[in-house]
Amino acid sequence: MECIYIYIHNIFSIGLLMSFSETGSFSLSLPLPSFFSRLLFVSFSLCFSRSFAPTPPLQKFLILTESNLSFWAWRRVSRGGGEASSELGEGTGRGGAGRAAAGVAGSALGVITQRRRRPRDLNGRDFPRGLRSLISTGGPGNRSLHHRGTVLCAPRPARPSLLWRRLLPSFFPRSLSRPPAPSQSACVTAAAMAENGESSGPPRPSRGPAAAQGPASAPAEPKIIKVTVKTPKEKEEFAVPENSSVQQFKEAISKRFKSQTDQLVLIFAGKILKDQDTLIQHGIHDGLTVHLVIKSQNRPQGQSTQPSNAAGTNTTSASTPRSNSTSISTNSNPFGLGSLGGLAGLSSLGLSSTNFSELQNQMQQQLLSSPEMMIQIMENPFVQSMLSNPDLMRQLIMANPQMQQLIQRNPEISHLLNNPDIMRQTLEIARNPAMMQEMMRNQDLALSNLESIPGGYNALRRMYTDIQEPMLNAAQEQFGGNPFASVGSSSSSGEGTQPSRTENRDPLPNPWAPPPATQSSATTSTTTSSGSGSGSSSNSATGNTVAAANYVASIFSTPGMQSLLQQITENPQLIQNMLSAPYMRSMMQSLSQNPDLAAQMMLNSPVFTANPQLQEQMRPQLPAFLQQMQNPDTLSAMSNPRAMQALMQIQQGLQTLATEAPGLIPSFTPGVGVGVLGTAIGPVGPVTPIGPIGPIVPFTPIGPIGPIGPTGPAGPGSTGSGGPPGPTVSSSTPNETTSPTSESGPNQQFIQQMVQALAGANPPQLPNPEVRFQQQLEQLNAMGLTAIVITFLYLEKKCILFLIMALKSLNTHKIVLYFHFDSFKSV
Amino acid sequence: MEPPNLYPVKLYVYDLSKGLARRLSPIMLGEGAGGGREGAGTAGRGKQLEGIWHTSIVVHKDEFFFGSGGISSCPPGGTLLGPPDSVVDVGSTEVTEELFLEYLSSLGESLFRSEAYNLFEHNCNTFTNEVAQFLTGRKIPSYITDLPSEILSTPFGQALRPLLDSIQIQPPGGSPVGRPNGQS
Repeated sequence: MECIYIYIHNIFSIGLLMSFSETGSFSLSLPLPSFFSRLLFVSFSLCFSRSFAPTPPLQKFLILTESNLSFWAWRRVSRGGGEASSELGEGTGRGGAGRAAAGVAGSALGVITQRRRRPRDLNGRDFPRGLRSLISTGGPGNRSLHHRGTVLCAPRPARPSLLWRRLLPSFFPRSLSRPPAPSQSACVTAAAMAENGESSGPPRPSRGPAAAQGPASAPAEPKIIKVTVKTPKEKEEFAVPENSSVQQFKEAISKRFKSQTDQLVLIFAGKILKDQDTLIQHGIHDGLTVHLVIKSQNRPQGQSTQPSNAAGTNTTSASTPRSNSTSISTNSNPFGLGSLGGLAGLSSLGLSSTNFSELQNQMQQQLLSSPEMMIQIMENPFVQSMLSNPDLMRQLIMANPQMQQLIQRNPEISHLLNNPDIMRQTLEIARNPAMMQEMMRNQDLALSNLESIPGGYNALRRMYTDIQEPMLNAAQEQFGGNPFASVGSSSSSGEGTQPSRTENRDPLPNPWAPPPATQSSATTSTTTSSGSGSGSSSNSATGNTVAAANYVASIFSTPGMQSLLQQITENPQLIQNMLSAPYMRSMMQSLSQNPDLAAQMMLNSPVFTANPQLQEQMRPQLPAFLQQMQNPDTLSAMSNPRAMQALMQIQQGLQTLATEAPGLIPSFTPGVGVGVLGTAIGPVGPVTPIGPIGPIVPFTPIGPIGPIGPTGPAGPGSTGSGGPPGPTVSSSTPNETTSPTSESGPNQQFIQQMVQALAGANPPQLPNPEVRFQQQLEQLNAMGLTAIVITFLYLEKKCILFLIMALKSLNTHKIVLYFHFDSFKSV
Repeated sequence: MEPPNLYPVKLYVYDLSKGLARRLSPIMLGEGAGGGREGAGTAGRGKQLEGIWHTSIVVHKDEFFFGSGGISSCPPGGTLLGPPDSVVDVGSTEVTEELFLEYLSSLGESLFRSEAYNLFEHNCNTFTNEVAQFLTGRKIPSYITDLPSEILSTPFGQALRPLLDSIQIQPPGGSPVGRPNGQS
C-alpha cells in the first residue's frame, strides 16, 4: 500500500512540477480551503498544462496524471459535494478525460493496481519508455526499467477501496513538502545511478558497485593502473594492480618481453626500482611511463647484440666474400691510406716507383710501418672532409666502369655501397685512427679464425680471386691506365695486377737509372739520341742529371704520358675541376705555408731520389713555386687549353731542336729548361751548349714526373716554376709576373737565343743575367705549368685511388668484423 | 642497504648560430625586428629565436649527443663547439654508467641510428629529451624542443624546408657509442 501511495505521490509531484514549468504560476503551498478543491485545482492546472505540453508523451503523462487526480477528485467530490463535480466535469472536459471518468477511474485503477503489468494510458497504449521510467522510478517491481540498483520497493497488490484512504494523507500539503522516504530516495537514487552506471559501460566496474552502494563501504579491490613500459626499442602498456610490488611487475614484463626477471632493470624518475619496492612507493600512478633496460648475460650490449647480429649476419652473407678477399689484400695494402697520405707527408717515404700499383704498395707498406704517419694523415682536414662524405665516396667508386662490372657480377658489393649505414660507419672508422687500429686487430683475429675453419682458407682465396683482384684492377684502371706501364718492365706491371698477400719486395724499375738499367726500347732509343746530343755526358754529375733528364724525357714521351697531356689539353674542364677541387686549394695553401713539408714532399719524389743534388737545388725554390701556384693567373693559364697546348708545342719544339740542332740554343744555361736539373748541372759550368739542350726538353717532363712520384701535389710542379737558375734566387719574383706571358716567353727566348747564336755571341757571355734568367724563368714557368697540371691531375687521381682503397679496406674491416661476430656466435 | 649513488645529469646547450639567430631571426623569420618580442613572442610574423639549439647530455663525466653520425660521446665540452652556452641541471639519476651505456647502445640500434637523423623531427634535441627522461624522468626545457616547429611555422622555414631537411649536423670531436663492431 505504501507503494501505491508513493506512486501517486510521485505522479502528483511530477504533475506539479510540470505545472510549474508550464504555467509558472503555481505554488506548492496552496491556500486552498479543502483538499479536494486543491485536488481539483491541481487537476485543472494539469489540464491546462497538458494543452501546453510540448510532446505527446508529456501530454499522455499529463492525461494520466490528470486522470488520476480527476478520479480521486471525482471520488472526493462525489462523496463531498456536488459543486466540485461540475468543476470537475468542466475541468476535465478537455481531452475527453471527463467523459471517460469512469473509464479513467477504471484505467487509473488498473494502472495503479496492476503494477506488474506495463502501465498504459487512457487509450490502452503503452507509455513511452522514457515516460514510463519517469513514472515508475519508484514503482515497485516495475520490470520495464532495467536498473542495477537494488529494488527496494516490493510489488504489492492494491485494493481500490482502500487506496484513497491510504493516499489521503498524501494529499495534505505537508505531505508535499515532506521529504521523500529514504527508501524511495534510495530507490530513485540507486536507479538513477544505476542508469548512469549502465550508460558508462562495464569498463568501470569500480564505479558501478561503488555508486550502487552509495555511501556504503567500497569493496576492498585494488585499483588497476595502466603503466607504460618503455624500452629503447619498443613500448608496451601494462595493467597491474596499484599496490603490486616491483617484483610482480617484472614478472608480468618478463612474460611480455620474453626475458628473465633478473635481466630487467626498471628505471623511474631516475631511480632504479628494486624488487622489494612497490609501485606506489615510487609514485608510479596510472598513465605514467617506466623505463626498462634488458640486460644480456653474454654481452654487455644487451639487446643490441641481437639486432647487431642480425644485421651482421645479413651483411656478412652479402659481403663476406668481398670482405675477406679485400681483407687479404689489405695485408699488403693496408688502408690504402698511403696514397692520400702522400699528400700530407708521404714525402719521407721516399718511394721510387713510377708504377702506380707498385707505388701504392710501397706507400702502403711504408705507411704501415709508421703509425705516426697514419695519425698525421688522418688528422689532415682534407682527408677528414673527403672521408666524411659518403656520397662522394660512393660516386667515386661507382664511377669506375670496371667497378661497375664488378658490381654487376657481385651484387653484394652494390649492397655494401648503397647501404648508407655501412658507408657512414666505414668512413667514420676511416676517420678514427684508434678505431681503425682496433678494426685491424679484429680483422686479423677474424681472418685467423676464418683460416682455421675447415675450408675457410680456400673460401678466402676464392673470394679474393673473384672479387679482390677485379676490384684492384678496377681501381687501377681508373687512373687512365698506367701511363708508365711501358716504362717499367713487364715484371713490375705483373706485380701491379696481383696485389699479393706478401709484401712486394722486388726492386722496382728505376727509370732514371743509367741507360744500362731496365728501360724499354723506346726509352733507350730516345736516350741514345739525346745522349748523343749531350756530349758532355761524360761528366759524371752531368751524366747523372742528363741521364735522369733523358729518362725523364723518355718517360714523358711515352704514349701514356702523351695521352695524359693530350687529355689535359683537350679537356680544360678537367684541369678546372682539378684545380677547383676544394681540397686542392687547401692543400696548396697548407703546402705553401709549410715550405719544409712541401720541400720534403717534392724532393722525395722518385724524380729526385736518383739525384740528391737535384733535391738540394730544388729546396730553396719551393716556396717560390708554391707561391706561384697560388697565383690565380697561373691557375687560369693552366685551365686554358690553348695555353697548355702552346706550352706543349714549345716543349716539343725545344726537344726537337735539342735533337736536331743542339747548337742553336747555346746560351741556355743549366738553369734554363732544366731548372733544377740545371742547377744540378751547375757544377758543370754555365756553358754547356749541347748538354743543357738535351736536358732542356727533358726537363719539361720533370713536371709530369710529378704524377709518377708519390708526392704528387706541389712537388714536381714546383720544379718548373720554382726553378730559377741556381745562382739566382731573385728569380722567384719574376715568376708571378711572367706567367701571363709564358706563352710567348719561350718563343721570345728561342728567338733571342737564335739571334745570339747567329750573331756569334759568345755563349759563355751573360750580357744580361737578369734578362736571360728572366727568359729562362719564363720558360721554366711555362714548363712548370704543364708540370703542375699533370701533377695535379695525378694528385687528384691519387686521391681517388686512395679513397677507393681506403674504402675497400675499411669496408673489408667492417664486413669482416660482422663476419667475425657471426662466426663467433656460431662457433 | 646503502643508498645508491646519485649521479648528476646536466644538459649542455649550445647555440649553433653563435648569437646570429637572436639578431637575424626577426628579420628573416618575420617582418619587423622585435615584432616577436612585442607580440609576446607568439605565433605569426616577427618571430624571435634566441638561438639554434644543439644539446647534449652530460653524465658520468661524459658528454653524449646525437648527430648525423649516430650517438656519440666525448669529454664534456669536447666537441668543436667548445664550451656550452648554457648548462641546465636536469636532476640526478641512479643509473650506473654501465647500465647507461647499454641503454645507449640499444637506443643507437633502434631509435637513434645515424641514418635516422632528421634536422626537424629527430635531431639532437629529440635524443637529449629521451635520455633525460630515462635518466631523471624530466624533460628538457620546452624552448629547445619547440624550435623546429617554431621555424616551420614561419614562411621562411616552410620555403627552405627541403634544403634544411638535408642538413645534417654532427659536431666533430666525438666518438661513436655502442657500435657493434667498434668498441666493446
